[in-house]
Amino acid sequence: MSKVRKTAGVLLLVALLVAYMRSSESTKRYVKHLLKQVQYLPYRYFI
Amino acid sequence: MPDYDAIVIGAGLGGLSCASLIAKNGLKTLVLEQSDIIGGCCSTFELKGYKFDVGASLVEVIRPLDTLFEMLDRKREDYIDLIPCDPIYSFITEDGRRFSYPTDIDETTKVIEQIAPEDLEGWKRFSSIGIDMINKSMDAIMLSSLNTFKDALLMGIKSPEVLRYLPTFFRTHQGVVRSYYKNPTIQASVAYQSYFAGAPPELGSGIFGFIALSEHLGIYYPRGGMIAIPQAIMRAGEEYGLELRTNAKVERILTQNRTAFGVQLEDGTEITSKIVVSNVNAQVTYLKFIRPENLPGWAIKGIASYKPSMPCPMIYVGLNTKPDLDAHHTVITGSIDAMNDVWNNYYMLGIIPKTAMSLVCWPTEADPSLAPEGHHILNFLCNAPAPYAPLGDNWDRMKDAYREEAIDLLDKHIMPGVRDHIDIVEVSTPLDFERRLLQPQGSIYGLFSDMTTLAMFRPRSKSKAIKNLYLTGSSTHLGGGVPTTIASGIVTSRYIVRDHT
Repeated sequence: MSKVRKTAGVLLLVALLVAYMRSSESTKRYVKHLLKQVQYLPYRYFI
Repeated sequence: MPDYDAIVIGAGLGGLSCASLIAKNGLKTLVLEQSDIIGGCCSTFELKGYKFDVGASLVEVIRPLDTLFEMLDRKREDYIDLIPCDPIYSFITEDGRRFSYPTDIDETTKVIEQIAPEDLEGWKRFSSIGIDMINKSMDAIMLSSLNTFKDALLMGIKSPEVLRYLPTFFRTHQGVVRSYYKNPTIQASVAYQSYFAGAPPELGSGIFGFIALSEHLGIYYPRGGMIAIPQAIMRAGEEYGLELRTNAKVERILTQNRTAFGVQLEDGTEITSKIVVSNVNAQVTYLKFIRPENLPGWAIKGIASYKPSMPCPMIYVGLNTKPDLDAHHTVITGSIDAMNDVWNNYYMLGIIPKTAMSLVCWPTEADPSLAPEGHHILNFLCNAPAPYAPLGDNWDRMKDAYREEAIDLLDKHIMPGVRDHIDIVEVSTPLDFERRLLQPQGSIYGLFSDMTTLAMFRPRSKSKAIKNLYLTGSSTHLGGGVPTTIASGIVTSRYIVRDHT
């Protein structure tokens, strides 16, 4: 079961990576922007 | 015994709305305004007989304003004369084509049919979904607190019909626009509103894609200038004992054991109160008025993480002739790609973009009394992001040169020969806006707005870091704009009335 989960996880990661690589420059900037903001969300929630 | 029940710092729309409502609920309330006029960004100043609006140039979605006056047991009509403006916008495309969107949805359909018949179906879907969404979300989102996950959950339970529009929140502005329209001109005429949220179309939340549509519910100009709105709210508040002090600059908010108990003015005067409400930008409130040493670490990290929205210089022009324009607002639009390009390749690099993208407001079209007889006013907002710290220069140094460039744009794209008719010109640079409105970097649209800074990820109306501190205005709730800041005042007042009356 654990092996199946690991494989599924790796496949999902690869799929996301491929989707990212194939996306437009504009979408890449949006994703990068969101990823940079994620770290602040817990602090922003409480302020 | 404190001097007041509540002190409100800043007489902007959020501050005055909140102050008047809590005064009506019996709290002895004082509003402190650093300027000699009230209204903040929604204000009007006079120069040589011309009355220029500081920033805000119209009222759209008047429901929050009407709700405020209803809550004050007053009739809005007795306090403000709102003049309807139709058409809502006139557009000038990059290649010089001009067209206007009337208020009426059916009339707008005819305009779209002429320009881009391929987008007719998209427009019909956009307008039908959008108007439904705006109507349903008015009470559920705009006039309700969304400070916590619990608030959001309650909103979902009380108004499940709003949930179907939730995916729009997670999409980009350009994603929403492109899903309805194929024609680049129509796309541009809707996408430029992204800058009003202080973000380019590729980063702004899709929810802002519907701002343009909300204006089809009607746009209005208050007789006497935009200052007529804060003046009306103040007048209604005064009838409940609300007090105002202008030219009163707050130096800091007094706190002890992370509890607010008053303010200290620039001249050293201390005024005490049970609660403090700040209508000043949340970053200035926490980092300047409260100061980092009085805040927990998580609060410093949270408040410092926000970015200001883009600054835009504004040029105020008094003319001795009637401008050849078609509407209260004229917009020069660029394509979605051009807007993103200006953001990524100019603004982010500290370069002032050489673009004509702008918003020209003609208030004397609605109210000729704002200028001497036969004269007119144009408020010219350079609606493209202009860096706060231009590379190798400073806004104070380059103010005169910038004014000349802006007049050139006006002359070339909007009103040929305008130079021969100019009576007076005044400029507000990002530095001027920062000094006047206490908005960091002169960001007139408040904090940068995207899906990571909206709703429960925006500074709370009731502070969790400092007891008895409340916040209102464009850096809270739903962001900048006349209806949203009034709504923020209403939302904040509900917390105060619940906690302190």
